Amino acid sequence: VPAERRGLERSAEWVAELGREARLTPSLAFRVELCLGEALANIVEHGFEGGQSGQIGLSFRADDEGLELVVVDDGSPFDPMSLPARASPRRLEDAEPGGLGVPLMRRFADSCSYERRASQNRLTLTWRRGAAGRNRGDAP
Amino acid sequence: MTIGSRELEDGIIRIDLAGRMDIAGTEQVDLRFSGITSTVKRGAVVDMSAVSFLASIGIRTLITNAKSLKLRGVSLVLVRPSPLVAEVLRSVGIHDIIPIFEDLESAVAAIKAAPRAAD
Repeated sequence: VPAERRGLERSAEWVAELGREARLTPSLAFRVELCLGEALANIVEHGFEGGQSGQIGLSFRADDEGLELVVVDDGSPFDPMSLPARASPRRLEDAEPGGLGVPLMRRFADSCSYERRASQNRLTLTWRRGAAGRNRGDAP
Repeated sequence: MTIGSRELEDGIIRIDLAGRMDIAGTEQVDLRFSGITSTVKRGAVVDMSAVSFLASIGIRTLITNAKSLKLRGVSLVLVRPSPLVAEVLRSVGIHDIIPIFEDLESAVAAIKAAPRAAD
């Protein structure tokens, strides 16, 4: 898909449709959609500065154990996983409105990994079925 | 995404958000949201119960409006987010800076208990 707004919207629809076919629970579908949206928004916003156009490739694989989403783009090198963990602000006055996309991806995917290969960014996100809430420190 | 508002009592405005607070949805309500909050005198209660999806762009709008109200000494609180939307908010610590309530009555009571901004 093109690395621009309409590509972002098409991707979300495509993954939502695949999620329905893969019979994801509403919670898992929410997590996948959230992470995909944040990953794509990052690429569209930061990956192609200066009016460059680019492409984003997506692959989605689901089986009984879980699912894997791979997002590939040919934009500037950017490893979202290299960003330091962000401390939550204690006061509203100190809160920065932006920069929440990567923390959300880290929390809502069961694993996130990045590699730069053949001049492309490759972000791999995985989820295990039935694992919602685990590995995030907020399980009951 | 849709947004509506009405005065509950004594300068306290209820803002009803409905739909998906993703990029497209947030853009649909962003201007109106700031327009409404700019007129709030005592407090804003944002009813999140009909928000089915929340992305970082939506959180950005909530923080921006809460901060601009805070500068005027006015509170913004959230009420009744769905479990998944609440998980998004908590996961990035929003509950520490913007109070979240289970019901409207508690939200209104908290606003009324807060010191009034100097007129």
